[in-house]
This record gives sequence, structure tokens and C-alpha cells, in this order.
Amino acid sequence: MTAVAQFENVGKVYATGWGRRGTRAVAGVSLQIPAGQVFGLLGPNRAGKTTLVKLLLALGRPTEGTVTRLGCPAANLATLTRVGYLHENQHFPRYLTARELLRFYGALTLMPSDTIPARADELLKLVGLADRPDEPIARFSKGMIQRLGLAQALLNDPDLLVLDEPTEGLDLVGRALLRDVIAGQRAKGKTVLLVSHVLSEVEQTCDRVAVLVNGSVVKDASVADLVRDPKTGGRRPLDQALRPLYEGANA
Amino acid sequence: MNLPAAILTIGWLVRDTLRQSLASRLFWAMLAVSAVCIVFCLSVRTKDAPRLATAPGETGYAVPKDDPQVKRLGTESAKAYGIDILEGDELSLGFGAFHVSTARGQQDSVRFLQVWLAGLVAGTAGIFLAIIWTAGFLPTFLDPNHATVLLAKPVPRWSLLLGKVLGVLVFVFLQTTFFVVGTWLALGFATGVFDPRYLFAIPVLVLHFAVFYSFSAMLAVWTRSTVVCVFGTLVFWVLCWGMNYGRHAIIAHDPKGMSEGIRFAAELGYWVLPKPGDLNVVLDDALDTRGFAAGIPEFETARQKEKLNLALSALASLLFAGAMFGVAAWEFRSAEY
Repeated sequence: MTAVAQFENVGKVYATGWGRRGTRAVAGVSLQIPAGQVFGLLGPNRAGKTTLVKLLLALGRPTEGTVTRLGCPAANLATLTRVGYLHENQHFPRYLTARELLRFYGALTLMPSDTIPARADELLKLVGLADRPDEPIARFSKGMIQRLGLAQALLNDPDLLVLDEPTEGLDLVGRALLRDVIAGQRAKGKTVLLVSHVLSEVEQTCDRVAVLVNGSVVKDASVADLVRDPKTGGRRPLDQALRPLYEGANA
Repeated sequence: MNLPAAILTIGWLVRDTLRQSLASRLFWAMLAVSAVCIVFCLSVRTKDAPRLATAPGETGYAVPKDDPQVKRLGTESAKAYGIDILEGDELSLGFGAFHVSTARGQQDSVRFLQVWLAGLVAGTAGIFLAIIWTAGFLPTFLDPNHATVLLAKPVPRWSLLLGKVLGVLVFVFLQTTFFVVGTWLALGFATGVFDPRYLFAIPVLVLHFAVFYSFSAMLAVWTRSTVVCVFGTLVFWVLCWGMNYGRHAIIAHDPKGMSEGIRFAAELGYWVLPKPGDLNVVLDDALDTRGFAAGIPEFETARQKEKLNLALSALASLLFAGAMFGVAAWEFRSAEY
């Protein structure tokens, strides 16, 4: 099994400055995200999920251990051309239109300039914004901005799609769209890393999940294994399987 | 380092910043201020009193009415000697609403207005407002909710920062050019006087702004706070003015009993920090303002004692700006998001 991303004994302490002790976000995390799968990263608030995403995308540096992305150290920017990222609370420039934004972000993803306009229009259609390509983002609702964020993340047809709380602000139709996008990525053999609190979404879309609690991985298993009730052998809801793990977290 | 990617990024960020400024009230507010000044210039009229006739090839000699020569000789005698007395010249403002008697002649009256526009309106109020108005560009851009996705793109971080900073400088350059060229043309069309020296104000003013914007950029990367950028930069501006003036005051007055240590510290501070006062002198020299405005005595004395080297001073200010942008880029390169 090829790993698209790999964390080896990774630790991260955020410096707080002024002589105070730093805050440890994750410790001793070893994890592999297999290629071609939809991988869920779960855990209670402040478990360290977003920190792992940031380390994977080189938005921060690990204090200990190593992070590998698409076969290269995470600090290597070149592999980011094959990564798409949807941030959990994205603010786009309000003065741009949806089409302008996709062209701008496509250029910064180093896509060939002649392919960007057609790809942007194709994605606007996919996320249901084809009728408002030239409207300023300032007029968009949170759900529309999230859809635009999804289009932005898909611009370069990424081998690794990182979705951090993608259902924020999405209505039922938007969530169905998201599920379709994730399924489409899987069908194309691409990898998706999904960070979410919405366990029903995770259960429906993920092949495998890792559960983080207090900065450490406490479970790394397939969804099929997690939802199998060990007593009866029947199927149980994912939240029932995870509740005992979450209860160990510091609130 | 992927240079083509960096250049592409810089280009897109410059374009984005101009787009941002066009979408903001700031662009139009600054343009409106310039437009008011241009209309003011269009309203200017000059009228010279009759001059003594000169023979072909003869250069007229004119002095103000209160010139010591005229007082000694008397008005009529001076005229008899062929000396023109500058009196009765008139400058009107507001399309004839206000009349001011001058003793300057048309050329110098227009240049007086240009000095006032470049030095006071653009050089002081303009830069002050530009620092305040543009201070929010970088902190907004660097806010994690805005920047995180951009930072996950395969382009060097320094190119993102440099693109944004260059975008702001291009914006200020365009605004400055509109103001200076607009007022130059307006004064020219209104009075017939087109003095090209006034155009030299454009690079000097942009340099002046860039020097202080570099400090604002460093604060923005460090704190990501618009408030800190605005107040920090203004306090820094005042500090630099104080250091600039203080150093020249020590040269001019040579205070007895001042320790060598303090003199050295003043000299060091002067050379390390930007020199807004000296940059104003650069502008004054470019516009040749000596006949219109008295310079600061301490600066004049420093110049007489050959302790004021304007080329070195401007270069040192430019180096400071480069160092500040370098520090900002270095800090941004390793910033955690």
C-alpha cells in the first residue's frame, strides 16, 4: 500500500513567547494516509487535527519527527502543485468575482495559463455557481463561499485533496455535492483527507479513519472495522464506536 | 528557488492589490483629493504688471519692491537705471474669487504653488494619509483565514509578500503620478507655465513613502495588526524626524559639554534610520525652492559645514527600506500558520 502522506513520530509545540512554556498540540503521531482512499481525521476539539493538516501542507514545521507528502518532505513546495486544500474558515477577497478568484488561485497553483479559464468554468458549473461567475464574492452566502472554496481546491485536479471541515455552512444540497465530489475523487484513484466533526458524513464517505485525542492517535482503523459491533458482529453507528475514545479527551 | 514561479506570483499579487485598491473607497478618496487640487490649479490665474521694455537679446533685471537696492535708489531712480520693480503682479485663485498681490512674476508665482503642493500637500499630508490608508492592506492579507490557502500553494512565501508590497507601491505611484502630473498640467493650462522640475516630485515622494511603508510591512508580518501598523509607523516617522533634526542640530549648534558618546549615538541613529527631513531637502532642491521657502536653519548649517550629503542620505534611507523588507520576508518565510 503506497502512502500519499506519512507522519513519523511527529510532535508540535506552539511557542507562546515571553518566557512562557509552549503549548503542545500533537505528540508522537505516526500515521500513513494510503493512496486512493478517503481518509478521515477525527477527534474532539483541540485534539490536534488542524495542526496535522498544517504540518502536512507546510503551513507550520514539526517540532519533532518528519512529515512526508507525495513522497517528498513536506517542506518541498513542488509537490503542492498536486494538492488541493479547502480551509475550514476561508475568507476570500471580497472584491473578486468567483471567476477571477479561480483564475488567480489557478495561476498560483502553477497551472498552465491556457487551461485555467475552461477549468474554472467547469468547476463553477460543478459546484452550482455557473450562473454567478461574475458576481463579487462580497454578495455570496457562507454556503456559496464554501462551494467556491471546494472549486478552488479542485482546480488542479489534485492527487491529494485536503478538506478541513468542508460541511461548514453547506445545506443539504451542498453536502450531497460534497459527497459526490469525494466519491468522484475516489473513483479516479485520488486520495482525500477529510477532517470533520460530522460523523455521519465520515461514515458515508471514508474508507479509513484515525482518531486523535489530546494530540495523539488513539485509533487508526477502517470504517468497516469501527462500525462492526464486537459483541454482536452487527453494524453500529460510528458515534457509538467513537464515544469511549472521545471521553478520554480533556474538555 | 523557483524564479519563474516567484515572478508569476509577484505579477498576480500586484494585479490583485490594484484590484483591491480599485474596489476600496480608498482609491476613490485619494483620487478625489487629487481632483480637488487639480480643480484648484485650474482656477489659478496670474497677471504680471507691465515691465520695462528690453532691447532684443537683452535680459531684463527685476527685483521686488522692498529690495534694498530699490529702497536705496528710490523707485523712479531704479527704473531709470533699467531695474524693473516687481509690483502689481497678481495671483488669483478660485476662478477669480480671491486676488493676491505678489512680487514674483508669473513663473515664480506658479513655482511657489508647485512647491506648496509638492512639499506640504503631497509631501506631508499625502504621505501621512497614504501611510494610514494603506496600513490595512498587509495585515488583512496576512490574516490566517485569508492567507492559509495561498500559503498552501507551490510558490515561495517571500514572493507573495513582495507582490503585495509592490502592489501597494504601484498604487501609491499611480496616485502620486495622477496628483503631480494632474496639477502640473492644470497649472500649465491655466497659466501657461510648464516647469518640468515639478515632475521630479514623483520619484522623491514615492521613495519617501516606500521607506516608511517598509517599516509598516515589517510590523504587519510581525503582528498582523492594522492598529499596530498605523500607530507604530506614525510614531516611527516622528522618531526619525526627531533623529534627523537632532543630528543636524548638534552639527549646527555644537553644544558645549555634550559627551562624545551622545554625539556618536546621534550620528549612528541618523545614518541607520530613514531621514525624512533630508528627503524633504532633496525635494526642495529638485524644485529649487530657495527663493520661495526658508529651509530649516539647522539643515542649512549642516549643509554649509558639508555634513549633509543628500545622495548618501537618500541611499541610506533606501537601504533601510530594503533591510526592513528583507526582515519582513525572512519573518514571513518562517511564520507559523
